[in-house]
Amino acid sequence: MISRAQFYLLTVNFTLGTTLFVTINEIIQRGKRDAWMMPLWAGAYGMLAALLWILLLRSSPGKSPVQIAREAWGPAGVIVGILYLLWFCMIGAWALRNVSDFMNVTIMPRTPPSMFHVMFLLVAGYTVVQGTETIGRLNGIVTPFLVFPFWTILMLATVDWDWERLLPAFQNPWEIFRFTSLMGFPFMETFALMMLYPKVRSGAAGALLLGLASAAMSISLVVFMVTGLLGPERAGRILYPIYTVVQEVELGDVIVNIHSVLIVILITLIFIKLLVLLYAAFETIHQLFRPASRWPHLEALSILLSAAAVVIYENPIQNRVLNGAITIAYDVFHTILIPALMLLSLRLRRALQSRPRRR
Amino acid sequence: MWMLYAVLAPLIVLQAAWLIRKKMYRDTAVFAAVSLSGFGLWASIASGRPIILNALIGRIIDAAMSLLSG
Amino acid sequence: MSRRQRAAAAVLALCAALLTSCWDKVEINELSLVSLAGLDRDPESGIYTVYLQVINPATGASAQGAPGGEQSPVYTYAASGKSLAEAQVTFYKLLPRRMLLHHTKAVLISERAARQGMRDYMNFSELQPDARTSIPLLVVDGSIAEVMRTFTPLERNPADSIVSRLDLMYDFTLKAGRRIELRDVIERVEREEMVVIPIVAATSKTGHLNSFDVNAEIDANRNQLRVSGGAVIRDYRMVGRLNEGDLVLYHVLTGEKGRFVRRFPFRGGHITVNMRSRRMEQRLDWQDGKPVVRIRLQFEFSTIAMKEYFPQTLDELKKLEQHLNQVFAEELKTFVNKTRGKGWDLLRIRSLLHRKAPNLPDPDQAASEAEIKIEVETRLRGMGNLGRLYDGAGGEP
Repeated sequence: MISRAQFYLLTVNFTLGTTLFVTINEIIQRGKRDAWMMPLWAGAYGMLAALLWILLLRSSPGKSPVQIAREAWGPAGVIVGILYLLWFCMIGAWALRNVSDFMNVTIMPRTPPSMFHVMFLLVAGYTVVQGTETIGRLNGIVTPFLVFPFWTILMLATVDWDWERLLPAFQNPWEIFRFTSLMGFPFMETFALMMLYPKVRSGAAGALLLGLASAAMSISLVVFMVTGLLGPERAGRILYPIYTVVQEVELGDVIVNIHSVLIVILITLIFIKLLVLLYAAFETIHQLFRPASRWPHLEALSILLSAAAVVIYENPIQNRVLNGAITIAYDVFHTILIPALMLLSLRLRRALQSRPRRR
Repeated sequence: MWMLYAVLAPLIVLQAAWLIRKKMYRDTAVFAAVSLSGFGLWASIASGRPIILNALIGRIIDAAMSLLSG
Repeated sequence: MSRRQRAAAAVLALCAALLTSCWDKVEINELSLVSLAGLDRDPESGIYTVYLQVINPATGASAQGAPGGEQSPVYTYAASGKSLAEAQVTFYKLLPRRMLLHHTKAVLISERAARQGMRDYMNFSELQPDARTSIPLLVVDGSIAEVMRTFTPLERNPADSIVSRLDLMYDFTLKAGRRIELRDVIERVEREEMVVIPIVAATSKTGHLNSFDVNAEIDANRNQLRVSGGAVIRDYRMVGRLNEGDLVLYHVLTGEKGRFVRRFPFRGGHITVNMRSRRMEQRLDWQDGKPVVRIRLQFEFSTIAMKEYFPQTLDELKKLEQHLNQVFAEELKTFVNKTRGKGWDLLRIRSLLHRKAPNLPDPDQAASEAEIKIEVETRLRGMGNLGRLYDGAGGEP
């Protein structure tokens, strides 16, 4: 069992995970000077979706979504469980591939991507085997090492701040509604945390909602700062604007070239995301089939995820093009449609079951 | 290709054999299912004809959408 | 050891493969640290020439008295190609160590390449993940091949020499600005503004000197580089120059804060004033539907340079300040009219209009029609060491 503070931190780190370097470019490209408002809308939408999930999990306390699928639909629930397993694996593969792309482009161009994937999976697998408490505690310990250096570096970079880059403001606050694909990622992926939800001692709902809100505000603040430091023209074109912001930090002549600190922070953040996803996949297998052993299944998942990470997309350009088309449908299916249907059928079933008793 | 077999095959086969010896048949089935699908994916990569997953998902979604609307 | 410990040890040992970054490690003595980069393009053949000035690691405090003569502090390599990337990899025909662009201190671009257009260089620069665009860009007046092969006395690394001069010029003379980096050029041009970057040139040479000769030569005005003047950039192209006097006025009008010395006409003669720019405010007013830009400048001046005249009473001081206000405002207005006459919107009026009145139908038209009013306010703050000047005959005629 993990505490609600640990669950809150897991929510924040999971949501921030890949967002900080995968979507910032696109958000600023679409939203320009008002781009910082887009994560706020997306976060609000994510919180609404989270309310649905909380309703679902409250209707069967102590059960994870996969177990609820079994309860609601019996044997057909196994199919839903497998769908969720595949979904967790796909998102995990996406996260792994994002990390290896980032590392290859910026600082380690010759390392084969699969090395990154395998290393991450090994460490994540070892952590998952230890159990839920380890995940919660590990995240709790690691978070200060992420938060303080990250914001300190961004503060150091503000010597180059120029308000002119953000004016005229508020030209298009509703921009995000034209780019619905940005709504889905990353907030809908937070559904993976629902597999951890039953393991929280108390107050999980509040922690989840607060975590989503905090993550949305963090992303918004980061977008705001990147826009103010690079300007929307550059930030919308540079692939990893945070990396460029940190690269250009120069305090006197001594503190230069500190971007490797940022890379370590980003790697750790992605690792947390991968950890949760691997845990979700592992728990799904356990809850669906109830095997007795642990390591072999993590080994199997590692083989699957390492392969999927290589083929999840052909190249970043194809990824970006297809992302706009498929993310929203893929995520909505798993995080809105199925949970809503499960909730409905649970309610119906309970209503039908309780009626004969009343007579 | 052979490197793929050399690395993955022992991992899968030895692990499955260990599971069978411990008489955990259900475990073996689950393990086999997941790891063999991973193996299949790796084989497609190694043979030069990778199954690109997001394109696959896109096709499934397109098919589903046309089924719903058509 | 328990199973858990064994598993942990195995995982850690395997992760060690990533720690040593087997594929990406480069020892530092396998690197060539580039400190100055130069770019040129021949307009007829379209061939790019890239110059790289690489630091010689053998020079340093310990190598000063080394036997075998003096080593050059930097080595310049040049390579050509039909595109920038081709030119860059051609370096390995000559360069024995891996290029590290991350510590480049400045980029020089030849005037003819600047006039052709710098957009491709900017794109190329931003595409490289390890080249920073937060370094100054200078235009070379004259032959870039010569400038890249020129030593500098006192500060032996030419890139350091150039960059420290830019800082000193900004602090003491306002003849260089702060926003002279590659990324500033990109940002300004993308916002359709103009930017002014410094010009570097080689001073007169007394022959083909090597580093030892330059460091042993007492005449430091010759055989080295000079940074002076500004190149006006619009749309990634160099469109003109500003001389030093105008460059100070440009920096003052765009709100740079620094000290400078200026000679103003005063009572039939001249007076030299050491001034410091304090504030620059741009305000947009509307008069009869036309925009009026009011620029208010605040300066402090010091008597430290005023050897010609010294106010003794408050009244005289007030008159001096008013005189300076008026004369300086006139000079600024002349400068602004001159540059506007060339069609240069150096004060970024168009951007101001875009920020304050985003819904104008034709911002370019409005910007060129806008009336500019300049108000100068000077105030005496600092003092030299004299309370009263020496008088008597023997002053300059």
